[in-house]
Amino acid sequence: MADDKDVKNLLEHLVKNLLPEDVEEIELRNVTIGLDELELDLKTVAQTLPVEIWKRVFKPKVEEEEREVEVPEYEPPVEEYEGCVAEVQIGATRSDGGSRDRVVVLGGERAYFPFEESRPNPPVVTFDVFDTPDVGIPGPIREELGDVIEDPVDWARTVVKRYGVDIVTVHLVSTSPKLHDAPVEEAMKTLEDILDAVKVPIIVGGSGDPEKDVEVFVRAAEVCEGERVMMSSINEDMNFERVVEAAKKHGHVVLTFAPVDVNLMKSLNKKVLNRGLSKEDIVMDPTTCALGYGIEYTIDVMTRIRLAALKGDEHLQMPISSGSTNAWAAREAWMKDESWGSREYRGPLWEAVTATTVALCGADLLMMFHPWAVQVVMEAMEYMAEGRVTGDAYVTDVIA
Amino acid sequence: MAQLSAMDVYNLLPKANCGACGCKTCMEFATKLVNREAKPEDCPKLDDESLEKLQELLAPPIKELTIGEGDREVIVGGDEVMFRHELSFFNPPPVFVTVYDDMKEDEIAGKTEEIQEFQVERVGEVLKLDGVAVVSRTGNPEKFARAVEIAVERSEDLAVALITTDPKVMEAGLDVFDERPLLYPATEDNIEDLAKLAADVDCPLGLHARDVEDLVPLVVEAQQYTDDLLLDPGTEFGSHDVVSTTDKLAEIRKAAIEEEFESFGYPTLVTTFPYAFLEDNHVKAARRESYLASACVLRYADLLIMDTVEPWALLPVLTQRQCVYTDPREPQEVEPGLYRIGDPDENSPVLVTTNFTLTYHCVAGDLESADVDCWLLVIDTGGLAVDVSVAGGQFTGEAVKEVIEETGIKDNVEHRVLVIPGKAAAVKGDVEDATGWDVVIGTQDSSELPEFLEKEGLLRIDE
Repeated sequence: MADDKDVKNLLEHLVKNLLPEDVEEIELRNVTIGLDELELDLKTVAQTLPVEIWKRVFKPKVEEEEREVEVPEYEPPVEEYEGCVAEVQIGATRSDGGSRDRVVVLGGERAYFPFEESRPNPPVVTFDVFDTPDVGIPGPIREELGDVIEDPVDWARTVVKRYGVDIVTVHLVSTSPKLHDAPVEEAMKTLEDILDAVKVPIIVGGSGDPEKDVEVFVRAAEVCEGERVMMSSINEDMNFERVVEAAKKHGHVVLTFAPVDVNLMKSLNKKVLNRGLSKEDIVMDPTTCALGYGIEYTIDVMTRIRLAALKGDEHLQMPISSGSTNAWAAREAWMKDESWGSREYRGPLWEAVTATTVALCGADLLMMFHPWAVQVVMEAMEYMAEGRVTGDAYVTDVIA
Repeated sequence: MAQLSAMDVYNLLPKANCGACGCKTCMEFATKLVNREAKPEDCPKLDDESLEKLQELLAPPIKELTIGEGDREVIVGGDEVMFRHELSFFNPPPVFVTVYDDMKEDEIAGKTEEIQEFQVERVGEVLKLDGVAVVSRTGNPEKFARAVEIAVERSEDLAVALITTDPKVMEAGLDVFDERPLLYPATEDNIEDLAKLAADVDCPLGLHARDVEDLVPLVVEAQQYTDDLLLDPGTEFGSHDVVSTTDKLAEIRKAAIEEEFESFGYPTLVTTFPYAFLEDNHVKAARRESYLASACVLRYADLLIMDTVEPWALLPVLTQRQCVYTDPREPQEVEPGLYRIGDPDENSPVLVTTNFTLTYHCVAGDLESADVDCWLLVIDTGGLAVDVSVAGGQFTGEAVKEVIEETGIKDNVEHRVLVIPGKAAAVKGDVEDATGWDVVIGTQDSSELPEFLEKEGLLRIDE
């Protein structure tokens, strides 16, 4: 019986002497190997062969073995959607008959996830400005913003200059009969002063009083003629038809509001559309519940609204706005509690996480007011339009 | 993927309607199986073959697997939908926190204890951390083994992850602790060694690639040895972290669930701890970790490995997890009605709130911890919070009137004064008109209520 060594020698000999370099296979004819029994353990034999010979003799077989484990072809699961979200412009430059030096465009999505298609316009952060500090502005925001909150014009000017926000929301809360019951004309004066002081587009916020807000918005539509502002917001509990008429007449945008319910949102949009505004004139607010205070409802409602829009539901194909400042309704955002750690960091994170969560679910406009949160979120949202980026640091760089 | 129907499941059941599983009929049991409210093993009449078929049919597209054993066990994965409203998400992502083998021994011990003891209470639930991840920074097997030893000694019910790219170092760690720790990261450079090792010791293996498609060959290679895998498509760091990382995770999840791409049918893993080395101070690092991890909890992270133990940084993450993993099929409501707080009598105040679970727990908790004796009237807002239900028209005078009549509170107190939440100030008039009671507007937040009641002389109402 031949041992491994003999076979090795035989193979080596055959390969070296009989095989020209470019021959991949040999067939032995008329060769007699005088052995009673031949037991070949090819593996053992192969291991003892010089590498270059081993490769020449066994390569085809080894290649076949490797091919057994097939790597499946991967295609990113990009879905083709039937519908898309309308693009809504807020603000008007001189050429459009306004006096803003830039405009903001919201919406336009044709897909749900960035890997399917990045957003044509990134979610936009609007800085909240209140026309009176007497509305319970959370301590951490007061500390951060300082004296500017005493004067809305100063407040607006400062946030545009200091944080580079693209749009400002002026909440005319002083008009509330429950607060100062300020006359509409007084609020209009503030509005005009802010339009003069900053050149970014403006959102006009009411006080939440269903009667007074109609008066405020109707008048604001005249005062802001040509500027294409957004009226924030109209709902079923008010005479919203008058606001819609005024917006139509003077070329503004309306924000429709419904309390965390897809069908209520849809039905209000339908009514507004029937009154002659188009999808390009409407933004919708399906309510933002703060992190820890029902954000899961908002996650579901915004997701369902956006998916419906992409499936082609025309009554839901508007950009989505989020009152992300609602994050401060969560006691975890503002309350001093040692077991929760420093509230200096907790509050702004609460706002940033709330805003980012809703943006990932579909929100296009984020109403915010803590400077740190505003900056972090503005920076992050750019990538919703830019698309996925891979960086240069990974976990393997910091471990052994 | 087409949603599994109860009928598909029913056809595999014995159709005996024997009731042994606790359901009246096999059809009811089938529905529960589809909704994941029951398990195939609950049916005693299934033969082995049918049981296996059923398990296969019901297996979620994202594999469910365990890390750790006994008290240290955590479950990850198991999801079958893209969005929580389509069914529910299952198995809230465990949060592991790191210790490093280049730390001093007492520091490793101290941090492990902090991880073990961390807890915060929210909405009647205690939020805790789930695991300790021992990371090799030295590449020295002895040092790593010692760190693992300390981390295991100083923890009781934490799952363990061993983190090193070096198979030798990994082996040293496994020599100390081999009760199913997570081994991570297997990369293109060490995949064969780590996959073999994971198979030998029967431990789950975390794969790491820098992008989604690079994971595919790693999965295929690993599958030759083991099927207990977690996928990390490369957590991103920098201002693009949130969008890029969540986008990779979404892509993986969509491929697995909607395209049934089997290589991605595993839970995912996100590491935010590298921020501790990439940012120049610990506050910046913890902020960034918190922000990124919170977003990934929303978007398909099945396990998180973080560095920070700062409560302010962990609270948003754990809160997000609590919210996102709430079962949407169960309303977040408490029973409307009359609740006694402390030991109230006929002169105790009557407070009104809504039946949203969170609202109720906040209000009741604040009153109880301040030892206030009072009556709490919980109205039915369909589980909505105060501000939302005021805006949405569920918090109305009529709703308050209804609960006053149903509970017979009039017999419990001699006065006729209601304290409503500050956020319901807008419906004060409506409540007065509907009920005929005097209405006092309370505070914006219930934490301020005890002091308010005291100051306004409302703790005893003598008319």
